[in-house]
Amino acid sequence: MDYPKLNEYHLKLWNDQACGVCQRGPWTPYPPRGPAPNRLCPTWEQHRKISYSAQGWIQAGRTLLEGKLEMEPKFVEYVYECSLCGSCCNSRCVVNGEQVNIIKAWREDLVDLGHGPTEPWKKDAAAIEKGGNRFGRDQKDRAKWAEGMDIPKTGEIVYFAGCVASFRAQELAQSSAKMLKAAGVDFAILGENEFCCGNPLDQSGQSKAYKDIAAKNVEAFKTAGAKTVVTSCACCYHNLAVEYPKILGELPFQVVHQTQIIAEAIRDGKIKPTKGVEGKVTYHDPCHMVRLGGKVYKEPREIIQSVPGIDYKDMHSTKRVTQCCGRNPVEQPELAMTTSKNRLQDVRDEGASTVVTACSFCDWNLKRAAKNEGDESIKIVDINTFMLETL
Amino acid sequence: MDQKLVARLKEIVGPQWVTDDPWELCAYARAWSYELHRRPEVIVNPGSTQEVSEIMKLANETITPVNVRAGGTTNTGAALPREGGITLDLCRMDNPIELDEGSQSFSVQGGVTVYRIIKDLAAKGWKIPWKPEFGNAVTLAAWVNFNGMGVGGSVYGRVGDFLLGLEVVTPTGEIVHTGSSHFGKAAKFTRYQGTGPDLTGLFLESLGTMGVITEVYMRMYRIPEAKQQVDFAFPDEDTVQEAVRLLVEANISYGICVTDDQMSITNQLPPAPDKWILSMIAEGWQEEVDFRVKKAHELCLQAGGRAFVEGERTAEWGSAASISLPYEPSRRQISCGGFHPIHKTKEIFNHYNAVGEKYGLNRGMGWWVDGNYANNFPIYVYDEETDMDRIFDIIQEVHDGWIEIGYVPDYPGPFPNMTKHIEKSYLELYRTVKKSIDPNNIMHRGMPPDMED
Repeated sequence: MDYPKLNEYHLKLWNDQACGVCQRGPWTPYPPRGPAPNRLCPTWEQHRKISYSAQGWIQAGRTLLEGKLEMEPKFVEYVYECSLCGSCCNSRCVVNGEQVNIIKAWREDLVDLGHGPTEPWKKDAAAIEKGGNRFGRDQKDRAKWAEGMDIPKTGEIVYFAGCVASFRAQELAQSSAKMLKAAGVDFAILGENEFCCGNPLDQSGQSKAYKDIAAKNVEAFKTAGAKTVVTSCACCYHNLAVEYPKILGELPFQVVHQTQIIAEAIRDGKIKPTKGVEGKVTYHDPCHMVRLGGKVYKEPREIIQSVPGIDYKDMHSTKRVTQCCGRNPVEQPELAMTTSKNRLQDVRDEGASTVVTACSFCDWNLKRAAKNEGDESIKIVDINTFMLETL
Repeated sequence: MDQKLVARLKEIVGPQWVTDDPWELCAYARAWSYELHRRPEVIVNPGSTQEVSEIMKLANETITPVNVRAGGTTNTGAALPREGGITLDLCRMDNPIELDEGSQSFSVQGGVTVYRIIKDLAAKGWKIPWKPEFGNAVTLAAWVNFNGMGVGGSVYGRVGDFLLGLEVVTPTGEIVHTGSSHFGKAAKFTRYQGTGPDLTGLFLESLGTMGVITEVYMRMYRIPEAKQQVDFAFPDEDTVQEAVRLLVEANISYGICVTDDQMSITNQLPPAPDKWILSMIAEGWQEEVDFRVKKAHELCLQAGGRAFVEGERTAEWGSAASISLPYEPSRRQISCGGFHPIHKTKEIFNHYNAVGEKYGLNRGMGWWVDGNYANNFPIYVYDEETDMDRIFDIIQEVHDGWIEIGYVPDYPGPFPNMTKHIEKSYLELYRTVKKSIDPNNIMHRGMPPDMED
């Protein structure tokens, strides 16, 4: 059986040297120069087997292409174990940062051949197809968070809230909107015309459905007159800014993460935090803002450090070598829980009492882990809510 | 694999820690070596020494081959099973490192990687003597199994020189402690004791054939105040060999590494500024480092070299760059090293170079100093899909020539298999010891020295 998309990475699969850098010990000096992360692969941390790491998937993929393996349901589930956080892409390996693309290509083949995706991702796809959001909620409720906020439906700057902030944690979207207003930004929202960014479809290899939903969003942005699209969710940011252009070509608008706008407003003196915060504060870089095409790491720090008298400290594994939050709490609940607990431990290791993040999923996963551990000692807060408390 | 055996393994470690799914076995069928696919039949992830002991008793009872998989970073192929069987993945055995600052030593379980050891010790101001030779995913236990080397070998020697003892599970399942900790209430502070011969040495460089190393006790050092690398260029083999001789005699270096210009070309790096590059690292107190660097300049110039000028590319230390190369179609590099007296370096290089030239291979030579001798790591580039038979013949030819020059190999095999070159009486003693500790020859079966002529 052919796996044409996986086979596009034939050279990378054959070049893999099975040296363990993607799970247990990267080369030194570690790129970028500076401290290497405490942990490398969330899936390896969960399973403690080298088969559950980029090395494992690459060797299995190669063996499959050599015709020595057959896909079967348990094997398909194995291919869907990775969270695609991209940590292994940093490891100075001859696969050269293509690990995530290899697994995504393999998943696309599995979908095309009728083997994939696995059940949780099928549910996502069905929910998105039916209602336009990953939770299967009524799309009419998409903009309920904005009730009473008097936000128009058209404008040159459009705020994209994403499914989590629209349906599950509306306070995230409300804080984002309040911060944009505080920065003096006139912005619109798409309301019922905002659809899931397509992240679960892209992750799971459902490329046709992904392209369809991406096209619908782009059309909605155009209709609204957007010249700039702003989002406060790192996952949505990654899809809109990095993935959409790959499948739809150049977009007729720019995509920015909200921290980029707020940092600029602070620089321009439009936002001036006046109240301090108690205790040591740290920041969790979402994977999608610092690697896999994202490079937004200065602005969040600039924002947080504008708070008067703040006691701020970066965690050990940070910026490009940040540790994943767990990413998929619904589709990969156990992996997400282990990963987010590990990240909370990093926060504790720094002695921080507050961890700020800039992604709806990171916020969700870290709070989920803290609740599971019964730990109320660490305040987990999104960057907009955190800043509103200082104004 | 007999499913009854698989079921018994699951009883010992728990079902989630045993797998024979073929797609998972693939990851354990390759390592950082020239060896092609060698698939185990079942993977077991024990969580404790006691579990390892029970597994070994079961394997011995059923005469099932056992291989231990650590980082998989050896280029020998020893991380791969030669006769299927059980592969033990020790990575769950990674309890926090135990420091004994009073004895300037530490203990780690068999699954802890050197990467983590370096990080954890550094957090307390300590270090192990070296940085690993081939990648940070190596575990210290595996390093012991290979008596590994690393940057820092010039002053510190090899792993065995700083080993203080081991916890080992023998092939028949007994748990043994070696070094001072086997006696009374003694701490793990020395490898030697008054209770008989050094049994730690039985497991050192045994390539996994004598037992499963479940814990390692090792000396640690304070991180020095200063460290500096200096680089020199040499026009030919005579001058660089002489420079190394002078540096070793002067005993001023922490590490010495030498590479030829072909290494840069093969690895697609910026061109080397001369035929040979010598990099030396000095460490210690700042005044001491300043003196050592100054002295290195004097000696290297005396030998006929020159110091690098600003902007010239310096060697990157810490690990070999890669075994796979950024070529299309896919190419790999095979490393085929050994040890030799420093004054034999030119002869060793010339033979390797001539063989490479004869077969038209891209190549590169590097070597560093371990104490009083050189450890070379020459590479040839090959195509895994078309060159496998040819490359084995070529490597055999290299080693046959080196034997005449008077080298010793890194390891007795598996390739080339050096059993026939080992003195008969030594071989007989080895076989007697091996049979006594592993009566059914289950540990890393097939690894040389051969058990039969």
